Amino acid sequence: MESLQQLIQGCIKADRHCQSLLYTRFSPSMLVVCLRYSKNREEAEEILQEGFLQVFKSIHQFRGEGSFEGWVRKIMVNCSLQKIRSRSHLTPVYTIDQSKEEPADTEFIYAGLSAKELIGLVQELPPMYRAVFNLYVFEGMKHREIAEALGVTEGTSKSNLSDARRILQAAVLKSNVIAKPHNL
Amino acid sequence: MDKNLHNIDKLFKDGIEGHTDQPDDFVWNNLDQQLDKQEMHLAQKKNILLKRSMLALAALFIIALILLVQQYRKPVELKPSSDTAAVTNGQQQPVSDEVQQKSGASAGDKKQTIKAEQKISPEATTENHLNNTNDQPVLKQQPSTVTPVPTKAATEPAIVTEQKVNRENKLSLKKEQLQKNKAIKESLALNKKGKPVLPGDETIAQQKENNQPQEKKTSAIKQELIGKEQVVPVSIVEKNIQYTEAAFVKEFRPGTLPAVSPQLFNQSLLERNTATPVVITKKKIKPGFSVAAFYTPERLTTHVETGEKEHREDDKDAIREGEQVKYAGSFGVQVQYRFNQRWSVLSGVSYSKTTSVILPRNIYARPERRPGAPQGGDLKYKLNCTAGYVYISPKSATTPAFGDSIQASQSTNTLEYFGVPLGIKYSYQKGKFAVNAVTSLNMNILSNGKLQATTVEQSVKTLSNVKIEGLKPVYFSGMIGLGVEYFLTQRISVFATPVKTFSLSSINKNTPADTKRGSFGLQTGISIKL
Repeated sequence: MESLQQLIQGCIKADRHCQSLLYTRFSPSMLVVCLRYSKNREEAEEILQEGFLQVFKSIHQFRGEGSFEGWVRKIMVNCSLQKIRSRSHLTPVYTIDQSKEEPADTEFIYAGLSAKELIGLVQELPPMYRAVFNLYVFEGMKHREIAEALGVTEGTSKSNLSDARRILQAAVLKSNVIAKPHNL
Repeated sequence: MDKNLHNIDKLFKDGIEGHTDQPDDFVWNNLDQQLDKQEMHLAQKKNILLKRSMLALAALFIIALILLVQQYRKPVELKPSSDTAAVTNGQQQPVSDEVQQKSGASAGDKKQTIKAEQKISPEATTENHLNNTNDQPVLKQQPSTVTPVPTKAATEPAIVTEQKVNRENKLSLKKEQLQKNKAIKESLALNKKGKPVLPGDETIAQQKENNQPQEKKTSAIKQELIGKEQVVPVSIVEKNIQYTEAAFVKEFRPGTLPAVSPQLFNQSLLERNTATPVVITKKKIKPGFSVAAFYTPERLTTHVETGEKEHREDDKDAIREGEQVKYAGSFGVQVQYRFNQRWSVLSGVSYSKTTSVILPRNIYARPERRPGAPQGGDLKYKLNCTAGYVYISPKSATTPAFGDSIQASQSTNTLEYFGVPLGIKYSYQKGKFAVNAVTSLNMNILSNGKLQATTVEQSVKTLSNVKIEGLKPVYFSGMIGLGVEYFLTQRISVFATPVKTFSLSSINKNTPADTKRGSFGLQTGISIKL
């Protein structure tokens, strides 16, 4: 079993075997990243393919600062955002119906939803909302950074995030999995 | 509400983070193909770079050649010989030497046909006979007509005595002159090679030695004449003209020739010789050895003909199109023996390596066929390339059926040869630069021929390193080149020679593709004279 460093060195030399092993090692986790940003599995796999091409092309630039997985993840996120930017004009406007199904303050929203179902819910978000939500929640970026990455204002980023949360909450509630706390 | 909203963040983060999902197989297959295309694109870029650098070097070489030619076309300054001796086919007349010693600058003298034979009495004191303060006999200039030299007597009785003496002396001298003329005639004859001997020629010394008896004769005659008369025989120097004795005497009978001064005589001799003698000193280059180390990056070309086509995948065009040269180059040591300034023979040893990429393709199970074993053996997957073919053993437990196929990912084919050249080289050197033309016959000995293939069988990848079948152990090729060399010192030089190689025979046999290789490269190196 080759170490990660050996695989990286092999990929720098364009050794197909090392490239194959590196792909096998990181593709499952990176596919989930791509699934979060894309609207369906096909698009996610397309982004995954483009992402790994970019990884092999730029692998010689990895200087060992930080984790390699984090570096690959950044590349996947960038490829995903590029896809979203290219398709943003096709995004339909999403209308949130706020009149119904607002949970009580004291209720905890617990969803026994599987990861796949949760990913599905995220995929249903409009592309821009999806991107903001993912960047804020999963990548831990600030609104200023999100605004810069997506080419929007900070205010837009904040409002998009708020809207995304509401949509997801409504979607989770729709699935009717709500649990009341035992101590109440 | 906010809590719930924040809960949403935590809910999704905790639910999705750490989750994995296996992508479909076709994702990697597509990625694999994309990577192949990228590698080909890179190889093409390198080729273009190599082409451009070769073009630039060729342009530099042409410019250097033009500069050399221009330098060569500069007029050569000929150095006239300082030897103003009377040219008699290399034989210098002793009396002519005396005349030359006394000849001074004679500017403005007209061209004249010099025909003189003059006897001057040492006792003569008249101005007509003596016009030299050193009491040396001289020849006086006369107008163009040939007239008898008038003799002037000091007193009448002395004149009568002198005239008598002169007549007697003339007769005796006439006889002697005839003998001398014979000797002169012989010396006027062309040398053995049919060329007139010019002053400064290497054969003058030899001819002097040969003519020593004649010189001794003339000096002996001179000795006899001392006290009686001083004869100043002057001969005509006429190239390619041989006078018979009678004609000479008739033409130049004693006493009828005008007296001329030595200066004029010498001047006329120079003027008569239309070609100014040139002293040419040839550089003698000693034969010897030199050793050179070189490296040649190459752009390979393959010419493929149909070989043994047995199955559908044995198509020569498909085989050639599915292959891309990644690297081709050679390096080695050249030994050269220089015969003379221009020609030399060369030999040495070189090592060449070629790496090619074979694009992914389906390969089929075929009966293994080894050279010398025409009947089919076990069923193995056959992969063709321009160099030959390989058999890859299946890794799965089940034996493949005839025609079963598997996917072969991108493969790499490597060929290594040792080369022994034998050739000739022509060099033209001017100053520190030289232009070299080279041609040679090369014997290429196979050192290594392997194919590294990756096959995918039932989702199992296998890497195989297999020897290529069908390669000839030896093949012959030719090489021609035209380059420049720059001499850093007398012994060390650097050179750059664009070379073209071509196969005289194919590199393989009994293969689906009959391949001949050629290349265009730039041989660069450093040479040291031993």
